[in-house]
This record gives sequence, structure tokens and C-alpha cells, in this order.
Amino acid sequence: MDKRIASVQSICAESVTIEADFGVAVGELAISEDGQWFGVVQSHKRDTVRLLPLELPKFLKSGSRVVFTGESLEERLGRVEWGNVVDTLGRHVMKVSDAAMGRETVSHIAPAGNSIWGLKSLGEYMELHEGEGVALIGTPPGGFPLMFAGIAASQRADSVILLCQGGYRDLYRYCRALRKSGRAENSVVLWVPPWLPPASKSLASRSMMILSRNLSGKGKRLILIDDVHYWLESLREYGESSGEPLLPDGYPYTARRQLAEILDLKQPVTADGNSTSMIVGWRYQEGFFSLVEHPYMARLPRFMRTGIVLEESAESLIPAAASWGKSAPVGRVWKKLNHEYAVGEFEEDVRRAVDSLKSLFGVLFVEYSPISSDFDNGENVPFDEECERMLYKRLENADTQFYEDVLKLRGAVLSHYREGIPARRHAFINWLFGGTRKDEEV
Amino acid sequence: MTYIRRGSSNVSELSGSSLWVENLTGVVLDDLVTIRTDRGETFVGHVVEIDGERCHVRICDGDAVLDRSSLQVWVGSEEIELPSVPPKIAGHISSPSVLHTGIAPLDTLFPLQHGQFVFVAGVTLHRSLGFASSMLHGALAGHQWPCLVSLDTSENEAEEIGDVWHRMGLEGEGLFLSHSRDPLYRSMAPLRLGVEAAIAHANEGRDVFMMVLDLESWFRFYQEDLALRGYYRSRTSALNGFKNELVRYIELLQGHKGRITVVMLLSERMIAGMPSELLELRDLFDSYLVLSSEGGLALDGYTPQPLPGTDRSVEYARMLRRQCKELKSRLDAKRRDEYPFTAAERAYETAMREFLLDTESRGIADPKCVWQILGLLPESSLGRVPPALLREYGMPEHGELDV
Repeated sequence: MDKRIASVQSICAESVTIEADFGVAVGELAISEDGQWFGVVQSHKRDTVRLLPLELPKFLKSGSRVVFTGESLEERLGRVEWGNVVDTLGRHVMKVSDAAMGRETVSHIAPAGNSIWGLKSLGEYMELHEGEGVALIGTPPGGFPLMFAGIAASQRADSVILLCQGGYRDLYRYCRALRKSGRAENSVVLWVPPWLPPASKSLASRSMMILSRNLSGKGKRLILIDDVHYWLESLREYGESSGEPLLPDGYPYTARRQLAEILDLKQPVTADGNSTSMIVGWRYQEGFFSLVEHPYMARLPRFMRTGIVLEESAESLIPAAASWGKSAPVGRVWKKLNHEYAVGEFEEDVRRAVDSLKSLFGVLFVEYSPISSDFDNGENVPFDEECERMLYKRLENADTQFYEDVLKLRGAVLSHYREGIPARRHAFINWLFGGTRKDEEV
Repeated sequence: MTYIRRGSSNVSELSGSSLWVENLTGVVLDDLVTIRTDRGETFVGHVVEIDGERCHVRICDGDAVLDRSSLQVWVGSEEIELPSVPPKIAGHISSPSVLHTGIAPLDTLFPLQHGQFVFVAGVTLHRSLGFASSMLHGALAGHQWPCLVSLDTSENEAEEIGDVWHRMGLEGEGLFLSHSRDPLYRSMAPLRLGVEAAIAHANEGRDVFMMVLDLESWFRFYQEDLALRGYYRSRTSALNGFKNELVRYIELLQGHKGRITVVMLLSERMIAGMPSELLELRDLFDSYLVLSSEGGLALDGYTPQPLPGTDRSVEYARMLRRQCKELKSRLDAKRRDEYPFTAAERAYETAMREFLLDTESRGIADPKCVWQILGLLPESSLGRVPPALLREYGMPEHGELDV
């Protein structure tokens, strides 16, 4: 490719101008001769070309020479292969398998028959299908990166594309999680570190789109995006720094389009069994109710069939009533119990039992916290529609004995607190069926 | 820092805190320069734009009378500048040990571990400072090198902190203060110096306990810095930039074998009745502690999941904390619905309140007291602790043990 070279005229943090005696195209990448600095052509007027820095301009000096390669982002990202961490410009950062594991072990053989989602018991709350999008909305203790690392570690998809917006710590956390899931060689992490200039971060949606297009055809694929809110705020920062006109809601006019780009990466199952599922996190602003306050959040249900709004309860995240999508049996029971408890449909005696049952139920089924030490050991005990019917039958015939039974059960379940959710669920389902179902389950 | 003697005395334009300097060769954007007047005063400036042979410098320091003809501008400065991209650290996971502060509610419910990053959200500055000084006392007892960075400090506070430092016998070591009347660059210097010193001590193999007061001031300085560089940012967008800046500092302090424990304070978590938007920054930290309006510890915080092989007390603390949180929300709901409290519930609430209010640092804290407070309630209302443990620890000292 013929190289076109020009010298830098002026530099400030948000724009670099050069004089070029050759034609340039808007969106073309320019690289400094030492390869340290990247810019993208934003505008040109006669010979004066304005570049938007994609890398800190301190790598550039007045009079430095800049090469116009004529290469686009598509071509750069087209060279990315599985198992790597790359940045928005397609530069190789490290291999996913290079992350040190410390005392954690790497499991290379994923247990068969497990969910691709990695949402543990939270996934059972909703009925999820491959090729769908799931939005998690809330303020999880420790932040979304911690929660998404948990998801990345327990997912069982064939390949994973992950967008990491944190520093080294979050990046290593994700890489460790992917190694733990045994998918290090079949994953790509797009890393957008916080110290990149806003223009570089605004490329994230485009880069994700290109990566998703290039790295296709690998069975059941999962795309994880930890925090859409943070990404949108970076777009806002980009809008203010680049002079892109802002809408009255404070976001640049491209935000709406880019949001659609990033949320529409999922793909339903094709004839040959390939699919792309997607989980995105959205942290809402402190002190506001989630769905109404953010100008773009109300658009979420348009893209995501399932949204789980998370409430914090004693450091566990429990789904809130505002969640949307189709509930699984366990979700229906949980919702119904909460609703009936709230409107006071139970007599005082049963109410106490339901109170205990609810706390027990919360512990058993919908407890999912990124800082919870419970982990899924692959044993799957379904809480199906029969369990749902059985529970309601027992609730209808509840008396004082029922209350005592629940308390006894809770004692038994809690004394197994170290054995994780599946063991506790066994105990619960056995109780529900009066021990008759034990042989079938084990 | 190398001091490169390159400079220019050709200042072509001067307006407000802005200088246009001609022929200052070899400068790079964001470089620091030293501006010297003929009276011998020096100021720090930042290069914010380079246009061919001219460069635009913003003075971030001082507001003296300047005369264009007598100014000398030198490239470089004796000030420290931290790297704008943190160095790549090894992705190791250290095995943290428990940090005992001697503050009973903290050690029993929110045990901190060495090398953690802790976000403390207070209600008022005065009470937050009280808690901060207790924590520092506790850290000192653990033979750590204490390092306090206090930004935007008033005279009164500075005096008070000086007294505390003197009482602890530290003679100014590890104390980095900037005064409220300082201009921007001097205001931020203690932070950079503190970070440098903390890293230096950690590299020498010492455990460092670093405390930064407080995030609100730091955010204000960050915005002031943006404005001085001539950028327009809304508060929300500035907050995003500040979050990025904070990540850079956190990354710098990490990776020293878990030797640096950092506590950052947000002294006012409510502003005009609304939660401060800076609370969002807590996601960057490992632990989150909330202070109540009375100055005690509130139950809303959290600490991270204990790694396998961590002290058993951390696991128990987590269990107790979750139980206490659940009880609190249940009792709050009961109060809201105007249900009467039972005698046991009243006793529990009073005992818990007193326990959380006691934030003095006094030696080793015994987790037994929390079990005993829980023991005031009937076993049927405690859904998150194993009954066997409750029976073992929850009995009064001289009571019968029923295992």
C-alpha cells in the first residue's frame, strides 16, 4: 500500500491538525511513524486535515510525521483471532490464557448439559432461550465487572466475546474467569481501558460489531457487555470533547444509533445450530428508579426480550417486580408469594410460615450475588411446574403444623449452608414432596 | 524527575492564566513548565496546545501580577507527575490477611483485609473525620506506615490533624496536606506526593495504610483542572472523566504485592437530600462502608467475597452482616407498617444501635458480641445463620450452652 506522510501542525488534547498535499477520507486511520499514536480523520478543508486523537496526544510532538495508511478499522480488526485481548484499534494486548490464576484452578473440561448463560440461579428465574438478549439492571455490590466475571466463569457457551471497560484489574479478572470456564482459547476480549481518550472509547460499538461479524460460526456464542451505562457516559464525554452536537438529554446524536448497534449483536439460532446470545449490564444512577430516569433505558425492552431488574437484599441480588420477560416456574412462585404476602392474603398463622418460606425461598432459588461464595457445581435440580403446584397445594392446606415444618426445614437447609445451592435445593424439594421424590432426583 | 534546561523568554500573549510562548522547542502536550518572574517567583504551568512554533501554557498555580516582558518559561518542573497510563502490573492474586483496626463493629461485621481498596461514605465531614481518625489509630497499631492525604483542608482541620499526628508520635511523616486557599496545582500536589511515598514504602517491603480525604474535593479539583485546560464538560461527563482518573490512581497503587491498603472518604453522601452521584465510584473499590448520621457504622456496606483459605472470621462476619441486614430491613418494614415491636425486637435494636455507634479503636474486637446481640431474638426469626453456631456463640457468657 502506498504510504502518504504529512507533518503535524498543531496539537491539543482533542484535535490534531496537519497539512496534507494529498487527498484523505473521513474515517481514515493515521498512525505516527513510531506507531505509538493513532488518530482518525474527522474533517478536512483544503489542505488542512483535522484528526481526532485515538491515543493520548502526548505521544506526538510538533513536526512529528503521521502516516496515512488508507487502512480502515475493519481491516485492522479483521486480523484478530480467538484467544486474544485486543483494544478498539485491533492492537494485541495479551493472550487470555496469560492471566495468572493464583490459587484458583483452571477447569478445562466444562460439565456437559449446563446453561450457556452462566446466570446460575438467577437464570432460572426467567425462561431464557439461546439467541436472545438479557439485560441485568441494578447496582450490584462490588459493581458489574465483579458480577460479569462470575458470569464469564460459569457460562458454558462455545465461544465468548467480552467487552471490558475497566483497568488491568478488571481485565485480569475477566481473563481468569474465562480460563476457569475452560473457554480461554475460544474467547476474545475487547479491552477499552478508562485512560483512553473518549474518541477511542466511542469506537467500542463499531469494534464489537466488526468482531462479532468476523468471529462467527462457532456454535453457541455469548456476548458479554459489563456496563452499558458507563459506555454511554463515555459517549457523552466524547460528544462534549469532539464538538459533536448534543441532544437536550446530554448525549451526542450518534448515541441512539450506536446503542442500537451494540444491543442488536444477538442472533437467533440458525439452521446449522449457530446462535449469538447476549447479556448486558446497566447500572442505574444512584437514588433514581431504574427504568424511567435514564433517557435511553426505556428503549431497552425493545432490544432485550428479558430484563432482570435487581434489588439488593442482604447482599444478595433478588429480581424485582419491574423485571420483564417470561418467568420460569421458580420465578412465578417467587412473584406470586411476594405479591400475596404484600397484599396480605394469608391468615396470620400462615403469614408467619410464608414469611419464613419466602426467606428460605430467596436463599434457595433467587440468591445470586457476585460476592456470594456459592458456586454452581454443575448439579442441576430443576424446580419445575410440578413443584410449583405442590407448593401451592401445601400452602392452601397450611396450618400450625405447616409453620413448624417450614422452620424445621429451614434449620436443616441452613445447616447445609456450606454445601451450596444444589444441596439445599434437594432438601427443599424433598420436603415439598414429603420425601417421595428423593429416589428420582438423586 | 530530570530537569531539562530548555526554555524561552519570548511570551507573545498573556491573558488571565494563559500564556502563548514562542520557540519553546521539544515540548509535548501536557508537559509541565516552570514560569519564573523577574522577582524570582515560580509557577507551574501546563502545555495545553501546540501550534507550530508556539505553545499555549496554562498557569495552574498562583495568581501574581505578571509582566509579559520579564517572564521566563522553562520546560520541565521539579514537581512530580504521575504517568498518564499506569504501568502494566502482573495479574497475581495475593492472599490477603485480615487488617485489625480494633473498631468493634468494623472488625466483626466488615473485616478489612490488607491491600484492599475501601470506599467510606459519610454524612457530615465532622463525623467522617472522627471515623477516619479511629481507623488511622487502628492501622497504626498494626505496624503499618500510615499515610494521610488531606485535600482542601481548612486551618482548623489542619491543626486538628497535626495534633493527632503529634499524639501518634509521627512528626509529620506520611502527612500530605493541602490548604483550602491553595491554588489548583498546589492543592493536588499532596495527592501525587502521597501516592509516590506510598509506592516507595511498599516497594521497600512495608505495609502501607493510605487514607484520602476526600473524594468530593478531589472531584472539584478535577473539574477545575478541566476548566483551566479550556475544556467544557458538564458535571455528568466530568464525573465519567473523574472515574477514569480514579481508575488510573487505583491501578498505580495496586500490584505492590497487596501492601497498600487505601481508604478513600466521601464525606457527604447526601447532597440537598439526594444521594451524591459520586457514590457511583464505589464500584471501583473492594469494600464499601457507610456511616450513619450519628457517626456510627451503618449496615449498608459490604466487603468482598472471601478468597478460599481466608481467615474463618471473614466468612462468619459476612454471614452475620447479611443476617443483620435482613433483620434491619424486616424491622424497618414493620415500623413503616406500624406493627408493634416485641420486647425481644426492641432489645435487639437498642443493643445493635449501641454496638454500631461505638467506633473507638480499642484493641481486639470479639465477634461474640454480635452473636450475643442476635441471641436476643428468637431463633425462628434468624434465617441466615446456622442454628448450631447461634446456639454455640449466641448464649450469654455464663448461660447454659445448649449444643
